[in-house]
Amino acid sequence: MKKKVSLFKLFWIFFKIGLVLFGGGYAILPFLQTEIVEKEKICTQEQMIDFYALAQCVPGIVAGSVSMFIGYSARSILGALVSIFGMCLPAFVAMIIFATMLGNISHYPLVQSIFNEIGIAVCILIFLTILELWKKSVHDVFTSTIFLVSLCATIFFHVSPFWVIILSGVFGLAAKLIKGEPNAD
Amino acid sequence: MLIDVFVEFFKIGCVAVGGGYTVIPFLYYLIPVYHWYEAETITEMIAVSNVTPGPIGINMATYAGFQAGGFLGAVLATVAVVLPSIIIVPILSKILKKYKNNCFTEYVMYGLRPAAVALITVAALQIFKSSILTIDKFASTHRVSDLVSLKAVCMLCFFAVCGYFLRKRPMLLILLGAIAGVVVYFIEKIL
Repeated sequence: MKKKVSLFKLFWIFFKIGLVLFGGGYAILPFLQTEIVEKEKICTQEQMIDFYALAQCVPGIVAGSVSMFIGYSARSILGALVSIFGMCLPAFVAMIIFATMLGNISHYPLVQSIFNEIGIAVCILIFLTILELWKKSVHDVFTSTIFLVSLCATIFFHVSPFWVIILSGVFGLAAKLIKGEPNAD
Repeated sequence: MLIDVFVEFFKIGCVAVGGGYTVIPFLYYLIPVYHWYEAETITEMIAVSNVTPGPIGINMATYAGFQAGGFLGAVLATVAVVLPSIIIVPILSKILKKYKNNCFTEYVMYGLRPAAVALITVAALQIFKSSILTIDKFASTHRVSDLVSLKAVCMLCFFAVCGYFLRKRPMLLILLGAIAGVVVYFIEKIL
């Protein structure tokens, strides 16, 4: 049975993640992997990937939806609400501070230099996470094909992530049914 | 006025499927209708949300909402943009829970997981392109040596080594990135 986490703990984890999440929502995975899967054991790695994939398909901000799925799996509806609140709070406060006092600091060379290096660090973190995820989700001919086709479809043909996820789900179902495996691994 | 902010950002939240950047075209669309901000504000918003914590979609909503209706506008826009998730995710989670041990769910996930990993790989490659490669410089000179700077290669190796040791502490690596940024700035200033 999964360990029961307190609502405050959930809020705190997502607040911390929201605080270090720069740029797009995809940067969320390395933090989920270490904080949610490894440290707190709120969900398994497979569940985390499932939630991330589903969040691509439902309306709304990806990082927000992922945090809600995880929060819901841990503590039902209240868990989902405190998770998304924690995730959004740093973004909200930061933008209010920017809008009211700082103006656009992104022009300063020092700020640009800092975020340039953070970008490289985030890049490394995501690649390390991909290596982890790979073991659990790309393990046979079919999954490797799905991986490569999805990669090419997104890079070269700019297919929307929405369709990539929906279609690969359909293919997964079809492949398993055709093969007629009695029980999935 | 404020109800418009709420309704418009709720709509944006509904169509923002798969990544915060899908919000951008809709922000442009709002300009001639409401005059809450100008086109340059959007470019500025994108730049600022890249250097502020939090998901980019939330950043954009808060900032645009603030421009449109002050603090209350910011609150309304932020709530409105996440409201679609708040409505749909619990419903979907409930359905998932019900069919958790259903083999069909497992079959769908079997195909879905490698695709999700592919999407993450694409995102990582995009960050790699924007933070390490200097595509603009390469496009104007066509010299391979202009594609990537020596500094970028050094930093990449540095973070790869640090990342390997700090892979259980990703937040520390981000902090290290910020410190490295300050150090690099002053070194470049001296040289």
